[in-house]
Amino acid sequence: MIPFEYVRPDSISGAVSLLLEDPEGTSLIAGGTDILSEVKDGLKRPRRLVALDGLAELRSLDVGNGSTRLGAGLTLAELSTNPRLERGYPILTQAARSVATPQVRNVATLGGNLCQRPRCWYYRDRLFPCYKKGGSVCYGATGHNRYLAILGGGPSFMVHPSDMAPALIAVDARLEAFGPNGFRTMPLEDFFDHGQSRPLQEHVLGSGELVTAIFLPSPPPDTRSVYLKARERADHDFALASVAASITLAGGVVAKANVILGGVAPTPYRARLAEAAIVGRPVDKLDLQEAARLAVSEARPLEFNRYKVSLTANLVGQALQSLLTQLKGGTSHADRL
Amino acid sequence: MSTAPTQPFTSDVTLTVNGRKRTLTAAHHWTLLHLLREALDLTGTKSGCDRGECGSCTVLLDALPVYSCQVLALQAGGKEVVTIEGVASGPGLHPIQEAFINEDAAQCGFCTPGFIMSAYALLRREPSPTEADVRAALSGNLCRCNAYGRIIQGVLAAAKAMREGAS
Repeated sequence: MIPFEYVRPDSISGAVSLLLEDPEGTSLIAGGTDILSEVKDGLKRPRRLVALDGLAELRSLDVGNGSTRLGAGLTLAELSTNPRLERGYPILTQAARSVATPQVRNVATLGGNLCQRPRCWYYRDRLFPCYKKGGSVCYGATGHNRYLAILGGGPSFMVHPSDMAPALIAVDARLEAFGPNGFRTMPLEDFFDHGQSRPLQEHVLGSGELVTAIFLPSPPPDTRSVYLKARERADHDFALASVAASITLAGGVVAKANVILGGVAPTPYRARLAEAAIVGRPVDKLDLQEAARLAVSEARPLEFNRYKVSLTANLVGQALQSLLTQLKGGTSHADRL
Repeated sequence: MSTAPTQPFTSDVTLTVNGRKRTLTAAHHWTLLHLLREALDLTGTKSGCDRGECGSCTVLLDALPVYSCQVLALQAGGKEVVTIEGVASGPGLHPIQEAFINEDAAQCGFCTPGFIMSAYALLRREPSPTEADVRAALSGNLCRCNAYGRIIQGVLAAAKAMREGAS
């Protein structure tokens, strides 16, 4: 690994000052699983790494009655094993447990999971000056693209690798960031950006800004949620496609539905047509097959990833079936996936 | 792209390794794996992929298994590290090591220290694991000889031996 300076600020303000001193040459390091891979692979040559792992401000987990705050520095293992979080938001523990391996989850953080860079093999190979490295070409558009986007692609056809992002968006999470102008919050969905203006990142944060926390509203009564992830190996793999779905019932009618897809688009993808096919319908009169079909009706697969269209539709169908089964008080096969 | 400095930055770091407090000077870009193998001569921890994928560098950091190739040495400052050299207390082998020998759980043996560290962390937390627990706990370790069946049997046998030894 090339040499760099490792600096450990004692506050988030200190971290922001360090970021602003040399924005081009500075990277943040929390768990380190992604940034150290990038440095080792020669994708980044930071002069300085600013460590966030000592900051108590990022480490709190407050499960309250009105809302829940998850510090961005919590590890995925901590999220996986918190019993109060599992009771209130089982979708989040399902997603956290599906990430990588025990060794990764013990250090990888919530904030890092949301800010991780693409896993596309062209991006990860320093010899390809691809769009996401500041080049002008997406080699995946016409190259070996079986893992790449079927929805929302272009100019980059990367897929967003995060498992936490779709699950959090499905429970209406908000993201808190801190920067030179203090704190700001936004719906997590708005945090992600296709990167047309800033291809070197997949989010909207500006210079000197960092993710500090996630806020979760209390789930309305009669809400059920589930996270399903399809991958080539049973463990230690990114999603070929994932579905984070939640349904809220009111008087036997679907009052609200979130269907968020991961691993199929450059950012977490809201399947609006599938949601619209469910909302307002009596729960016993839902056409799940039609909703599943609509979730991918706008898909434009590339040469080698056509399989993802039916895979994703089937996963959406399974997720919705699982929610209906949960709402009837039982558990379905899909829960055990 | 910036130019890397020619003189590496260094700092003193203090950490506890296998129960012994150590203070040494580490370059900022050293991984914990590098510090263990090159500065402390603890070469039982193996460098396999060096990318957090194979698990042969697994050590415990504050009782949790981590990939030491993906943790900077300075990130381990103030923490407690246990390596394969620290699992046995006294001159004999740890029951997990005994079980790996008895069950013939090592073929080439390169991945073995990492598997034992993941198993060690599991059995400290869960003395009576199911086979599913063992599989989940070892899911971050790869064995290219494909000895998985015997590795899992080894961990289950070690758990049984440790329960019987404790009672």
